Amino acid sequence: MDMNVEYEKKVPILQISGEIDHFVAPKLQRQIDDLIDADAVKLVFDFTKVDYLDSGGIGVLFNAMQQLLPREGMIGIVCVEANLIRILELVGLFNKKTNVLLFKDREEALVAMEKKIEVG
Amino acid sequence: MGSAQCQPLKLKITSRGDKLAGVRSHVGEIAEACGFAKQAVYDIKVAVGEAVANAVEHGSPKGEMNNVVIDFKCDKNDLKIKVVDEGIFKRTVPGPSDMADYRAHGILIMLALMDKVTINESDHGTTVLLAKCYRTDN
Repeated sequence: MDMNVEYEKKVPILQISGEIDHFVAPKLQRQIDDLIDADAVKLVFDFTKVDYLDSGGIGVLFNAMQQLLPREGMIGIVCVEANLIRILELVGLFNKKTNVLLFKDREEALVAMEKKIEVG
Repeated sequence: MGSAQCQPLKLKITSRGDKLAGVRSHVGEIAEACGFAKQAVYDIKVAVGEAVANAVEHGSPKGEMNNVVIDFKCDKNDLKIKVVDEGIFKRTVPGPSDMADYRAHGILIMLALMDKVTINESDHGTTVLLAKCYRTDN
C-alpha cells in the first residue's frame, strides 16, 4: 500500500494505491489519527487505485467514522471498483447514520464536502 | 467450469502479517485455474484473506513461531479451502446484533462471499473451512 495526503479546498484527501489489508491497516490508522488530531473533520479517501480491501482496512474506516461523528464530520470514499464497493456496502459503511458517502470521483466528493461546510 | 483434474494443494506459511499478500495472490491463481470467473475469484481471495489474517492475528499464540496451513481441494462441485492455525478461535459467528461491531466484519464477509463457512475449534488449533460452488452466473 502506498499513500499520500493532498489538500483540496482545505479537505485532506488520502490517495491510496495497492492493497489495504490487516498488515498495512495500522499505517493507515496512524495517518488518519494524525489528520484528526490536527482537527480534520472531513476526510476523502481516494480508492481509485486500490485493488483490495479487507476487514482490517474496513475497521480503520469505521474507526475514523466513529471519531468524526461526534464532531459532525463526514467521510467521502471515491471508488468505482465494483468488487470493493460490494464489500463496503456489505458491511454497511454507507448510510445516513455513518455519514460516509460514496463518490465516483474526487470532484463529486469535494462538491459534497463543500455543501456540508456551507450547511453546517 | 469445475476442473476435476486440480491436484490438492497445500500452502504452509510462517504466521506473519507480511505473508498475507502472497497467500492472496496464490489463492487467486488457484481459483482462476479451477475455472472461476473474475468476481468469484475476487470473493475467494477476500474470504481466504480474512481467514488467514484471522489465523495470523488471533490463532498464533507464539507469533512467528506458529504456522498457518492452507489446503485447497478443487472438485466437480466446488473449491474447498481449509485454513488451519495453532490457536483457539475467540469469536463465534456473529448475529444481527453484532453488525455494529466492526471487528466482526471479517466473519460477516466470509459468510457473505462463500457458499459454506465452517469453523471448528480444537485444543490444537482452529480450522476454518470455506467452500465456493461453481455456478454459471459467476
